[in-house]
Amino acid sequence: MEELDLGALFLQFLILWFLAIGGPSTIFPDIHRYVVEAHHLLTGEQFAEIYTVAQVAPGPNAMYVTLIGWYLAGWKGVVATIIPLLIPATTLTMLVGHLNERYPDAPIFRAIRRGLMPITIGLVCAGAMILMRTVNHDWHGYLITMVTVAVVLRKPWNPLWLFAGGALAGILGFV
Amino acid sequence: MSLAPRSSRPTSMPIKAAGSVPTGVRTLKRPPTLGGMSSVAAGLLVATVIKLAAVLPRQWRPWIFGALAFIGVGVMRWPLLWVMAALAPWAIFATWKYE
Repeated sequence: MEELDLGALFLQFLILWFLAIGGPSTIFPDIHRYVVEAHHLLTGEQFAEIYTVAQVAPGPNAMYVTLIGWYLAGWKGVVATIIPLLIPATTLTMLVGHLNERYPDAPIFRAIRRGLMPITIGLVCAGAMILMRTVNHDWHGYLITMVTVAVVLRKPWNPLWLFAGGALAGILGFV
Repeated sequence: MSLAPRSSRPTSMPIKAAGSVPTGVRTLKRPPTLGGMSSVAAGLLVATVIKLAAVLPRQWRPWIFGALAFIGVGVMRWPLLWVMAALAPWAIFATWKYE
């Protein structure tokens, strides 16, 4: 375990939030790389637990980032991760959103949207792989993951029902 | 700036069992519900990827950029900043020029 450098954490999240095109899921792999692999601030399992708790809890998807900050350094950690989210990224988003609304047919905005879409998909895919490899230790875990995928793609159910099912599987000792 | 953050962490965290101990060591049992819910969370991410990929045009260019982003960040574990700096301008340029 390394000592936590709050200034460096702040800078890292400042950079990340500017790169979070397509939502907070796209920076999942890079936060994992920074927190788990590069600086050993959390184990992979702790990281997965924090992400899971944030997903089950109500609130925006980005909450897992705040939760990581909280877990690392309490309120100081929350400030170090959420201020980079609130100030620069929202400003940028509002600016781009405004321009986009005003000139929706400008070829350059269309190119940015469509051009970055596949990169977003690749990043979320990387996050899915990292999470799966961390939390699924045998076919039991992968079965739950695959059932989740099948249900989400076919039924418009609230994911909370799936989480409830996953929790039940855990209580029954399936995973 | 160096702190001893993990000792001053809030105590109300539901997952605090794992944080205050060295890597790989658990002193308290983690809730049995968490494992299954983590697998569900992974499934939700996979489903998101499939939903997004389903609307991607059936051309080779977007899929190449998606694969490069996946390999750079997920397999090579390069920093996102470098990967985006290398890929995003080309992805946008190619879309603008050829679509």
